[in-house]
Amino acid sequence: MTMEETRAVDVHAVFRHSAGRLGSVFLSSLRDGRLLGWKTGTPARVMVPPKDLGGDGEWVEIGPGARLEAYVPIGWSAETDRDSCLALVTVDGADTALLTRLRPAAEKETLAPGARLTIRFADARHGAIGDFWFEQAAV
Amino acid sequence: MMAGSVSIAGTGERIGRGLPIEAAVHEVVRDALAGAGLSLSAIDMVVTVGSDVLDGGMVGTRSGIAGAYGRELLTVPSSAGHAFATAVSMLDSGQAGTVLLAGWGEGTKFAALDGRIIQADPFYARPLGADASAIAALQAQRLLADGRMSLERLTEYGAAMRMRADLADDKTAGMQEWLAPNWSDGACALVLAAGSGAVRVVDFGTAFRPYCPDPADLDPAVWVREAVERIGHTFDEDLAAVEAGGPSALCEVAALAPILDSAGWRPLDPRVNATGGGAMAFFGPATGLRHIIAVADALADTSGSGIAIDLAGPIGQATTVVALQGAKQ
Repeated sequence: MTMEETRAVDVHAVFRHSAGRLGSVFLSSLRDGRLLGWKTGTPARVMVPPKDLGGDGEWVEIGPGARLEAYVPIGWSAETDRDSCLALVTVDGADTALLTRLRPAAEKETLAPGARLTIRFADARHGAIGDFWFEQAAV
Repeated sequence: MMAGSVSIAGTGERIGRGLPIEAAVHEVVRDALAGAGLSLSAIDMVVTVGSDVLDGGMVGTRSGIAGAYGRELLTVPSSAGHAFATAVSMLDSGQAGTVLLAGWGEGTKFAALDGRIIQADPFYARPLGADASAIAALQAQRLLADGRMSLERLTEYGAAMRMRADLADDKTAGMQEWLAPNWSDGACALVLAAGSGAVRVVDFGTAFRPYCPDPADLDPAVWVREAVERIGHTFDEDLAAVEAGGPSALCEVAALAPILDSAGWRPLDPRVNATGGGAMAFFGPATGLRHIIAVADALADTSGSGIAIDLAGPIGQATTVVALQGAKQ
């Protein structure tokens, strides 16, 4: 049986998306090292990232603490990164959960949902969701 | 509630790795038509499903092979359940008397490159690496942490399904075997017809969640209950077959819970997922058609009822429950 040859082919497609009226504020604030939630609706809920439901609302600063809802334990997904993993967290002051990165990545046995976390911002920020991550809070 | 005026008249399926899809589509359509005792000229409308990010360009070609030329064609860029519901609605509303429903997928491509991350939000999810396997892992961890699932049940179910699917020696790239899809290729076809037949479509119900639902809402059992509530029929007494097709064993066993609890069945009951479930031969959004066919096959020549649960999306969040009934008196 002959071995199939493979070559890595880099397909690079660039799109320009509008971040929208709320997303633009949210992402700009990340560049400034601030995490904002959008408080709107009746009863009012603080959403992060913001969802534009068309109504009025106000921005509120949230964090820096957070609760770990779930994360991807090492070996549970196709990801090979050991420095960080995908996680769902509820930031203090927010009513919705946020997808983010948790550092460092953890084994299932070493960290449980419910753990307290704290936010960390990168020194060099670009106005993107990757400008920050969460770490376990010091006890 | 539907009047139950739609029947499954014929079916065909081909499943396997390295399947030549164009040939498979042709074969399953031929089988389904033969089972229905119809020729292609008797088909009013063709509905196809199989458009994923890796084979979207082939939808037109394969729809043509399925028999779409010269007749009404609906290509459904969604799940098998959605396509089935579309076909049934066309018949139930009188817009067609016969519908050929065909679906396909080349899941083996996904083993090399899972392009489903393109579904993730480009601002808040995709840059973080929220691929399908990671979202599924979040679901798994949450269900385990909440006590809604146990590792013992998952391991037992996953191993049993792999044996039923004759995949005992396969490996899953280091991932938990109850979390990883077992990528396959496949094609399925059904001929649906207005009026009575050997297996009638009782009703269908759907529930839908976004790519990454709220952390308190990651349990497929909740979505199945929601879909079942939309079906005005109970199955406690005459239930004869249940199939669940999803991207992971975890998602399937969680989704099965409401139906099995109601019937008093265990997940390893031989009447449940006789095919091994969708995760054991996952060929993308059309996979659920196979499980509708499996239930229809089990009900032929009986008066029993059956349920097929289609769980599409990375964690089964596009949920369709299809209720069928054998028409034997």
